Amino acid sequence: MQLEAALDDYTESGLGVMVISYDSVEILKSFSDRNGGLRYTMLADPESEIIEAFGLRNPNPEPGSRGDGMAFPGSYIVDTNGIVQEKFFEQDHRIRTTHETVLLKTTGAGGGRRTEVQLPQMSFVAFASQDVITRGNEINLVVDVALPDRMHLYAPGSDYTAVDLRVAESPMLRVGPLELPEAEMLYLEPIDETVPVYHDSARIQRTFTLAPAYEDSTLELDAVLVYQTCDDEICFPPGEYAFTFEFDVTALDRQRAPEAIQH
Amino acid sequence: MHRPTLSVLASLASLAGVVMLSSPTLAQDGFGELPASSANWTTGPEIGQRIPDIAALDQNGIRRTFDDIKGPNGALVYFFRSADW
Repeated sequence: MQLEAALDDYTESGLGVMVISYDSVEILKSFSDRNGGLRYTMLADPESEIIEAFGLRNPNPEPGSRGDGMAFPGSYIVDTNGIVQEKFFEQDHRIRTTHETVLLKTTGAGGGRRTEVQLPQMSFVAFASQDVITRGNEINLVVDVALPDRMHLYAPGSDYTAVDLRVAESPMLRVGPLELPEAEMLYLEPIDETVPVYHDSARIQRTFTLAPAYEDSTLELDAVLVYQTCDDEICFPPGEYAFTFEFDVTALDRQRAPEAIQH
Repeated sequence: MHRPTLSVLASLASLAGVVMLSSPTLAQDGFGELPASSANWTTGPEIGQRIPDIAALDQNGIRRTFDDIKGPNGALVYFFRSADW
């Protein structure tokens, strides 16, 4: 979603919002007005002082050209002391992490339509940061695994099959690395081994990005959850469960400032 | 979008006497080349580092600072290229 629509979610999470660019106050006011009066704070940095202090000035545009002074786009989540907690930057400016993804990764809450699956030894709920996406968006996929008492799920780092969320790559998709919580080390007395596992629950995540060249109005993303569990008596064979994330794909629309105040 | 398979490319290459390199698909994917404006990419402060002081005029011409905008849990500080284009 656009920032205006996400603003209440940021506020409810206790996060202030400030947006910085090399635009003048006039350009920012025009942008706000033609978007219905935006509620978030936009800061004008036309001399690129803040942009340069951050080390974000894009050196590529020719001096005096339209883009001279602009920032590499991206965002930070910082604490009240200004210490960076998370950062979201993409080298290709056509790709952006959505606010749904930022909020989901920062607060753990949010996300779209849930798929619930009950397996013999565990259950999971799968969802994405949002169900309506745009080309170039970085979207977060989440699988929340729930384990019954005394059942554990293997993390990477042992001879057991490690949990994984496989997502089919294609020329129209970039798939990010698997993101897992820190595992607990469990000592297995019968075999005198210590293995990395999860108990109770674990959130498995991966991001993906849809290519700017993607043409369809929907996306079906095939995924496979790979897992192996044991309880305190027996180990179960590794399993794979195939399912699909479904998305609607929409277009972004763009509009320029009135000519007199353009860069 | 139809793309020739690797085996077809290899056959054509051998006919032409050209050495085929591996990983032919990257230039054909839906992401294309990185834009020229993406060169010399920098991303600013890292996790754990403090951001520089922020003080500037907002869209209403009012001087604002990080401290008066932040919330009880901190803030989203978001840089974008332009509101104009």
